This record gives sequence, structure tokens and C-alpha cells, in this order.
Amino acid sequence: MKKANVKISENDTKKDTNLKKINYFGKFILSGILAVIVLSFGMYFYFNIPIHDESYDNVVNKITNYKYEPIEIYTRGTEGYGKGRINNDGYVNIHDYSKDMPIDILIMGSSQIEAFQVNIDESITTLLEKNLKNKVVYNVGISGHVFLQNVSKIKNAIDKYHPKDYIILETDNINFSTEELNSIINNEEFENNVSENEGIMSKIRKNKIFRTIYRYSPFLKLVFQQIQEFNKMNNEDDLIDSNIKNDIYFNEYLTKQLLVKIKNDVSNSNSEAKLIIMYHPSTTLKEDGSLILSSEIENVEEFSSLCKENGIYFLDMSDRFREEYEKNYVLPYGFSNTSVGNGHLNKYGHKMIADELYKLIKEVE
Amino acid sequence: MSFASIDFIVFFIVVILGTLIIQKFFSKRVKEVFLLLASYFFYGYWDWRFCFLLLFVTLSSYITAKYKDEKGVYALGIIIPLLVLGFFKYFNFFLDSVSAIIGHDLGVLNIILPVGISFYTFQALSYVIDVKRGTIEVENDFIRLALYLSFFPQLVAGPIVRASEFLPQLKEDRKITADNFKYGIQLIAFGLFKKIVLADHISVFVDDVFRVPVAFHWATILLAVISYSIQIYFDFSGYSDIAIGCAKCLGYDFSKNFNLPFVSRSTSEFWRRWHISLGSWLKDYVLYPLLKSNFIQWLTRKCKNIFGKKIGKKIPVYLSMFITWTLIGLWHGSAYTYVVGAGILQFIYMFLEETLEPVAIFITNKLKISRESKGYKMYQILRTYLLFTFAMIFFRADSFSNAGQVIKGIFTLQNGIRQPFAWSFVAIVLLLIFTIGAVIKSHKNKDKYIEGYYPTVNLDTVLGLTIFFVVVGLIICLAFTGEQPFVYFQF
Repeated sequence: MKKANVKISENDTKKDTNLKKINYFGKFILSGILAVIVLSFGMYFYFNIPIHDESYDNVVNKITNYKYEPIEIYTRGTEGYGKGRINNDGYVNIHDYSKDMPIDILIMGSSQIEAFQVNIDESITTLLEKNLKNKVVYNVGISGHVFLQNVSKIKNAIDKYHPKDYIILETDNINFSTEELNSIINNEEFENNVSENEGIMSKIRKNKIFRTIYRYSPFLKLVFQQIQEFNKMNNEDDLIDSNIKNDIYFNEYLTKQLLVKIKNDVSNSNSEAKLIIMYHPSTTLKEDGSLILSSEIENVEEFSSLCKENGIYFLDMSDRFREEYEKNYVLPYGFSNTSVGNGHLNKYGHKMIADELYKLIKEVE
Repeated sequence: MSFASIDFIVFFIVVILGTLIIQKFFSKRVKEVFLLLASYFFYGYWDWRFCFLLLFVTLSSYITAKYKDEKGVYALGIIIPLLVLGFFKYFNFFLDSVSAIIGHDLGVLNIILPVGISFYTFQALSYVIDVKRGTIEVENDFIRLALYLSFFPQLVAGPIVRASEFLPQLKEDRKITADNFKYGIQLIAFGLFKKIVLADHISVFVDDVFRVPVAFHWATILLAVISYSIQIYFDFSGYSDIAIGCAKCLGYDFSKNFNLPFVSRSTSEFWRRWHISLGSWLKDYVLYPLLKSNFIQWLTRKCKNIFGKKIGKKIPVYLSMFITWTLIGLWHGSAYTYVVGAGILQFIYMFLEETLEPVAIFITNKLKISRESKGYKMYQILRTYLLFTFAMIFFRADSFSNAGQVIKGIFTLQNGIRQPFAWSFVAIVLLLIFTIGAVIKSHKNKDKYIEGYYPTVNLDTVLGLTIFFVVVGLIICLAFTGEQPFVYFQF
């Protein structure tokens, strides 16, 4: 009898412990869900970035390798702080796109033109349109799309948008590897270096359920971004190695051919739009406080004269960048939450470029 | 491996799980061996050769403490850790200094500085000295002593745990419990937030400004200098919190290493609140023995004869303090900028605070200002903070000329790049909130001495768990993703 009672009470204690464990596990899960909701709400104002439009993946004659799903308000506060919208066409624009829309100026470029780091009304595209008043400026700049990548897609862009007056191509360097130049000149597909389309993260994101959760959870978006940044940091050494392997230098012959190809692509598309290559060099502060521009070690003059030969306007931002620094101590890159003078264009950089583009267009006209 | 790394998280989970299994199925001895091996693995993760050095220091302490009564052996117990520290940390500095004096370059040796060497050599020294003094008993169990010196939470950046504090805990059968774990994990999260969210972000700005001070506006340089004092606080106190938290999770208790240093009303109070374990170590093993030494006693007598009783008594005390502070500066790094920033300037501040005290009393009496009024306390806190911040310019600068550029930039109201760095403001606001919280708490408790506290929550409730998860989420989201080692690793 006694033994049976002891057994019953032992069983009760075990049951109690198990119930307590289940209870705590329930609290644990509930708290986790609540925390994700709270964090997602908070991060909505900090990091609610747009997500890639998967339906664009299989489109032929793409303008860019990927684009975004439309979103009325995106925010991004990890480098600078930018707030804007992705239009119905998947790019950062104040206008929505329609087939009969008259586009005067088309801007193609990388994340610098995409301009997630500044508010949409502080971006080159918006400022240029404001300056020009009666022209529509349309932006298809998107992260990871460097100059040569955009060059390879210029025909597709003209076919879709039919820019009337200008096509602006952004670049932060003018020295390319022989391999890269040859692939573009020979109309080969330019390798997409967009990390978001690679690795396990992109596979997870392609899962339908997860994708829906991801779409509405800025917290998860930021967690993914952090993981990507972390991986990037760990792979930095490999990147440096691969850069060293590439024979990056100014190849006058191939560069000339590249510019001829760009010019031909435009004329073959029956476009009368003029071409502008906008070059914005990177900046470094020397220990004595003076500014070094990457244009000092690149062959800007040679590139400029090759552009001239081919009827392409070349806008070099070096002088304006230097002048702004020497007169006003303003740098075109960097933000109040990142390293000074490094990273993406800040609002001053965007304004400098928009001003200079405006001046050039006015001169041409 | 650094605390702020995925590697460490994996390592820590393995250690916790391993310890849980061992404490359930095996003896305490197995747990000690497991923790010892884990600690050596942790240390060897940087460079496996470091483990041999640690083992050598441990062996020397074990043997010399056992034979402490033999004068020569005891001396070896002091000399060996000092030689190890001197060779690895200061030999090149010594060569550099001699080269500068004789005007001939003697070159340098290619010596790798083992991480945390200043911490475990100091622990080894204190163990041998304490055994000799009779403060603690000799530890006959080698595994236990080795675990004390190598215990991974405090191995590479402190706190400097005394043998009298930790060895008795090892002798008890400390276990991982739910309560300890819930408390410890919150300290780890708190420390990580300080380190990888605040300190690491701020370091980007501080590094920029100290690299090219001539390029920046004076207000930006000033903000960078203030930011550095906050960066180093969050960095080091963050590390200490993680260390204390890790130990707590495993069932061990470490004393606080920081106690709201920025509410200090004087430099001497500041150093009782900042890196407490180092300050008390140097007081017990350098300053007090120095004051009791034959030389200082002799000097006191001489000075009294020459300068009179009042002043003569003080000169040897100041000399001892000067030596101690120079050592504190040197402990931080083998460069004269450390000696000035963390050493000599701190001594000067204390010297002035003490010698000018009568003047301060005279002025406040004349102006009828109460020295216990809130206004006056605020003035003292601000003065102490600014003095510390000024000293930290030297501590952070690569050279004296670099420090000079920073100081010149501020005082000449230099024009240049304006960088109102957002993370600095976030850190300042958070620091103020927690400090004010601590002040209010102390007032409520009617404490005379303002005590820091850990903002922990009850992890048995949904609210507590949610808050904790939000904090963890914030750490993941806002963590600096670049590489930024703990500042105190180098020491």
C-alpha cells in the first residue's frame, strides 16, 4: 500500500515537472513570436527593404539581372538613412511606369544610382528632374549592376524605355580587365555578381511560406542582411585575391572598342538619345588631411578623349568632389552612421552629381 | 576565439551541454578536467603555442607556491611570470627605448604577443604571493590551479580574479542551475549589446578621426574623443559582463569589474569603479608593499628631516603612487602613450585633487557653495569625466604627435569635416539613461554610494522572456558586422 502511494506521488511529481516544462516551452514560443512582432514593427522604420521580384527571373531581354517587387515605402537605415518607393516597374522612382510614358533621360547604374542610402527626393534622379523641370528622368539603377553590366543591357533598356534625349551610364572606375572587356565586346553574358541571388539564403527565400513571412517582417530582412554582411566580411580575403588575379588596367584598344560598341548599340536601336558616362571617383583622406581621388591613378584623360572621339559625353566628378572638400569640407561618400568618405554616395554626393549633370545637359542643349 | 563570434557561441553551447551531462552522470573531477580542456582549447584557438606558455606559467606557480618557504623558489615564483610578461610584452619596447637613448637602431625581435598574457600572469603572481602571505592555502591539486589560471571566461581580458575568490568556488560542487543560467545569459546579452552594437560601431568613427585628425572640425574631434571614452568603457565593461555571465551560467561568481565609473566625483573614485580588479590588484601587490618597503621607510625619514613632518611624509607616498601609476600605464601597453594616458596623467590628476583640496574648500566656502549640493556634485562628476577623457586622447593616439594633432584641433577650433556620428549619440543617450536609472535606484535604496546594476528581467514570465528576446533580436540586427577585436585583448 505504502509503496503504491509513493509510486503515485512520484508519478504526480513527474507529471508536475513535465507540465511545468510544457508550460515554460509554451511561454518560450509565445515570447519568441511576440518578440519577432515587436522587432518587425520597430524595424519597419529602420530596415524595410524591398524584396526581389522572382517573376522577373525568367524574363527574356532583361534590363537588369533582377528587380524588386513594388513597395510604397521602403526604409533602410544601416548605411545612411533612406526612405522611398519602388514603382510598379520594380525600380526606385517617384513615377510609376507606363508603356506610353515619355522618358527623356534614362539613368542606368549600380546601388549608387539606386540610392537606398538617401531619401528618394535627395537622389540624383529626382534632383536632376527637379532641376530640368520639364523632363522625365527615369532610374533603372540597381545594386550590383556595375558599368559593364549596364553596357551589356543597354539595347534592352532602349527597346523598353525609348529614352528621347539622354542615356546616362554611371561608373566609379574606368579601368577594366581584359577578360571583362572582351566578354562585353563579344556580346557575352556578363557575370552577375549579385550575392542575394546566391547561397543558402536565396534558396530559403525562394520557399513560398518563408517568402511571405520575410516580405512582411523587416526584422527577418535585417537578420538576413546581417548574415550576408557577416559572410561578406569572412570572404573579403578571397575577394581581394580574385581582384589581384584579374588584370585590371587601362587597355586603350579594348576600351575604344567598348565605346564603339556602346555607340553602335544605341544607333542600332534607332535611338537618338545622347550618351553620357558619369564617372565618380572614390575618395580617401591622406594623413595630412588632403583628399586623394581614385581618378588620380586611373586613366581619366585617355578615357575622356576616347569618349569624345565616339561622340559620348564624359562627366568626370573629380574636380567638383575636390572643390567641395577643399572649400566646404564636404565629402561625397559616407554617412553619419558609417565611415567618413567611404561607401555609397551621400546626399551631398547625389546633389553634386545632379548639379553637374544638369550643367552638362544645359551646355549640350 | 573572441566572445563576439559564432565560433564562441558554438563553443559555449558545447561547454554548457557537456557540463550538464557530466554533472549528471560523472564526478566533479571529470567536470574540472572537462572545463580545463575546454579552456585550453579556447586559448589555443588563437594559437596553439600559447597553451604551452600558459602551462609553463601554471607549472611554475604550482611548484613555487608549494615550496614557498625556500627563499629562492619563492623568488622564482615572482620572477618567472614577470619574465614571461616582460619578454613577450615589453622586450621590443625596451629595445626601442634603448635604441632611442643610444641613437643606434638595435632592431626588434619578431615576438607574437600572446593574448591575455597580462591577465593570467597577474593571477599567477597573486596566487604565489597570497600563498606566501598566508592569505590562502597552497593548492595541491594541479588541475584545480590550472583551471583557476586558465578558466576561459576570464582568461584573455579579465577580470583579474583572485585565487582567494575562485579556488574556494572550485572546491565547492558548483553546478549549472536554471536560475544561474537565466541570470548569466542576460549578462552575456547585456555585454554583447555593449560590445558589438555600441562599442564596435563607435570605433568606426573614432578610428576615422584619430587616423586623420587634421581633416576634421573641432566639434567632430571633440565628439570623437568623448566617443572613445565611451567606446572603451562599453568595450571593456561589455567583455567583463560576458565573462561574468559565462561564469555565472556555469555556476561560478566573479566580482563586478566596472561600477558606473562615469559618476565618479574624483579620479581616485573613478579608478575604484573602473577596471576594479586591476586597481585593487596593483594596490595590494604593488602600492602597499612599496609603501611598506625599506626604501620608502628610509625615504620618509629623510624627507621628514629635510621638508618637515607634513610635507616630508607625503613625498614618499606620492613617489609610490607615481611608480604604481606608471606601472598601470605600462600594463596597458608597451608604448609611452599608454604610460602617459593611463598612468602619469592619472597620477597627476590625483596629486592635484589632493593638494588643491584646501583651495577648493576655501573657494566653495567663500562662495557659500555647499560641497554636497547637486550642482557641485555635478561639477565634480563632469570635471572627473573630462579629465579622464583628456587622458584617453593619449591612450588612443598612435603617437604623441597624433595626440597633439587631436588636442590642437580642439583647442584651435579647427575647421574641417563635420561628422555628427549617430552611434555616438545613441551610446551617450543609453549611457545617460542607465546611469540616471542607477542614481535613482541608489537614492531609493538610500545608498550613499551609487551602485551599478544589471537590468535583468524575470525569464519565467512571458513579458520577461519577450523583453529578453527583443534584446537578443536587437543585438543580431544592430551588431557591427566588421571585424573589431576587444580593445583589452591587446593588454
